[in-house]
Amino acid sequence: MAADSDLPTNYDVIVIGTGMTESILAAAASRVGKQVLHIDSNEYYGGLWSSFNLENLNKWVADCENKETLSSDLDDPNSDVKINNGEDFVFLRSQATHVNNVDLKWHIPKKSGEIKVEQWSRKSQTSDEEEQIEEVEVSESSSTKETSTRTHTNSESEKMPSTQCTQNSNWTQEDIMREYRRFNIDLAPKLLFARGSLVELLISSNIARYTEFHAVTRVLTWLDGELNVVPCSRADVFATRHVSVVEKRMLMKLLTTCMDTENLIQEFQGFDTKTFLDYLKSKRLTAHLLHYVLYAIAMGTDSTPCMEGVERTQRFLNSLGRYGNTPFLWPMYGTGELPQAFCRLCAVFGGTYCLQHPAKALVVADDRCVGVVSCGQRLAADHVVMSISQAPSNYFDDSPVSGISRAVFITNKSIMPAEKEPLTFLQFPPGPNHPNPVTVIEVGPSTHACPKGLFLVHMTCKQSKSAREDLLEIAEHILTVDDVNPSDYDITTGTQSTQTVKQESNFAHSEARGGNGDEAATVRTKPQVLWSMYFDCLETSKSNLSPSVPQNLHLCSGPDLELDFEFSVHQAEKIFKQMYPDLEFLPRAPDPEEIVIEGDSPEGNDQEANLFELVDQEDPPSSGQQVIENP
Amino acid sequence: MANRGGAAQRPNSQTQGKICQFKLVLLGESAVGKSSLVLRFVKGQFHEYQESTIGAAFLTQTVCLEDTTVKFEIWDTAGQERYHSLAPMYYRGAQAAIIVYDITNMDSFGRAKVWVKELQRQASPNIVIALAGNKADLANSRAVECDEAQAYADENGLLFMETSAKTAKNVNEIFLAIAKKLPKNEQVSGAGSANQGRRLVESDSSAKTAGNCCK
Repeated sequence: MAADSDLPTNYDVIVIGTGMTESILAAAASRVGKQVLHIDSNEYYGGLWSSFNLENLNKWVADCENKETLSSDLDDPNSDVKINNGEDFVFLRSQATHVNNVDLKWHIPKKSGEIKVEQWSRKSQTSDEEEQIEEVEVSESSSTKETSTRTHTNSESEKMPSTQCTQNSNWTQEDIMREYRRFNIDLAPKLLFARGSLVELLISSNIARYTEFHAVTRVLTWLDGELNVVPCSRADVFATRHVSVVEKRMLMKLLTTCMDTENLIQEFQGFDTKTFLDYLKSKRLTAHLLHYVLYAIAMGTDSTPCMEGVERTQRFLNSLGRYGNTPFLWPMYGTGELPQAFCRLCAVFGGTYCLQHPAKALVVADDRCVGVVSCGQRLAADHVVMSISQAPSNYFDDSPVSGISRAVFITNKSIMPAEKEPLTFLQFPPGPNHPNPVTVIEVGPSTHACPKGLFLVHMTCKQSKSAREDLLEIAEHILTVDDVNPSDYDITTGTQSTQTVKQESNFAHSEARGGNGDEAATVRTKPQVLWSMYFDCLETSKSNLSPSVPQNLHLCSGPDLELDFEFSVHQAEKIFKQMYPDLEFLPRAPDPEEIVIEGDSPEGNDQEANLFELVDQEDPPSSGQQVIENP
Repeated sequence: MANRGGAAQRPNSQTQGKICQFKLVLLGESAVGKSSLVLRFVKGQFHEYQESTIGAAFLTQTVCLEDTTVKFEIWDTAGQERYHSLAPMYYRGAQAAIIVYDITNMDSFGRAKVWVKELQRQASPNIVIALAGNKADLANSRAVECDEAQAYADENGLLFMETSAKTAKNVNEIFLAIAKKLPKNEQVSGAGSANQGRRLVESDSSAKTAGNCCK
């Protein structure tokens, strides 16, 4: 709520924008005792790194479409704020100018008749197992209905289809919008490597206390026109049908070699200037293995340099077995939680937070930023940290041309249904029609990404045309994207498919889409897209800043193309070192038990204080074994 | 580090039966005494001019019921409420909330009602909400009648007590009442509810790390 009370005007650091890098910096500065003001023009945290429920996502789309009005708003300097001789205003831009080609669409009818509801409630009585699932779901539900309607909510969720049995035709826009608060849809979905910089930083700074994660359950790849599980753990290797015993040994040997740092130089002699593909070919790997290693494990392309491929392979393998079967973690409630976690640390150490508080302009004198104009106030700080997306174009030597193409789909089941709810990472290798790899992350209800019975599929790649043109073709490999007019659907379809479920309680059969008849029972059908969104966003991680940027103004990139948060963490650390070369970057924050408040007298040991440690028990050794073993 | 165990002795400290852990969040206008209530409950202290608790991510305290030990993980707002900028992350997975107002300040009671609505909209539907009319020791300058607050709490299904962090009146009692009302089934030693993810914790020098408590 802007300007309902004035802010103090002097700080050590003012941070404009609550994106990932900005938030890490806010936390780092506050943690070492600096007075931090952190403002954001939006009413939400995270900027282009945010996660939204379905309603707020619609608002965000509307804001992106109205960017003209937003930016013209900025042209009007606030007359209350005076500047002195030798000072200039530098007007800031709206973040929304970084988003283009937004294309949002429903693929299901608005509503259907009452018959559907009746079908569902009947169905939920047919299967005991399903009933149990629903009970758990009700007691933990994060649904946000008014108290007065709680009883009603419970009866509603009993009608919710379970993951495996969902049929597209049973979902309507109304059904989904009724659950809009259960969505957390990421603008910039990213995974954390279990031993990546962000995980280490979260742990070493103790910010890990604020957030919870799920381990990605599987890594898939697209091979010979179908989805394949990439063997990560020993269990995967045994489970896979696509790799022979000989190949398994070959794979183990290769990966062991990549991890053998002592003999690395010898092994890769002569490959300095060659590609990783060349190296893998020299090892006479079979086509399947080569595919797994190059495209899935190293996440590379045919032109990835050899040593980069080795490094990427090492990074993947190093992160295996720490938290689960794959090297990756996904934050509960989406990636938008992560900037908030850093912001909370900043606040806990005394930082001031003000959302809906736009910075309209900077006041610049010589090569220093001497003021920030916000809500009629002139604020001052030694350092100003700001999102690149708000910087004026003359701060760049070259305006960023490359962009990120993004697609999000709400689907009715997983791209490859599994016994336990899967959390999937998949990378499509570059193909004839798409020169860049496409990253796919599929998340389900247990991460609070979406309501029960649905999945979210995120796709990301380097922009070459528009998001839709770049990604639709790939999406169609794994999803059914019907662009039919929603009014073509009728209630009859819903009835038919529900009956299918009733007759075939078997999960394998229930994957079949209603209306496909016999064929459907044998062919595994792709998930149906119920809702889709495409957009393009500027990629600013490689921006060249011009010398006209004031020296105490620190610009932070928006989301980058990489799968992980390495870039952001490293950028934050680098900027922090420029600001405070002698201070520690995010030293560990104390545990609750360590906080001694004035006048607190030490008491005897109490075992209960250790409950946290007891709760966090170790993984059973069997669950996360690395692929490396003795053949 | 020196005082790891200091928090857990009050109000009683037997450990028996199952242990349930709950996240409890505090809400309410600035300066109504949210942090003071927590400090009274957790540390048994009161400071007239309590500065906001710098550096406290959250504090913990246990309450023992007949056969269950309830461990509260108590989250304070860290001042993010002052400019209405509380992050949604703050409420995530909270099983209980205490919404605090100052009985000498009618506006703070109005603000508390807004928080009730906000929680009913945003938090998990089974959250246990308590309303605390704090600064009960200043009854001479009372602006909010006890009956009025009680009636409001009854209408909205909230626990209600007038408390004083200064005299300790009803402080343990309100936490105890919440502990009693929280569902204890399937919560055994879970950090949050059973379907939650994992927290990342510091690993030993070797490759050991945390696992999922729910496995």
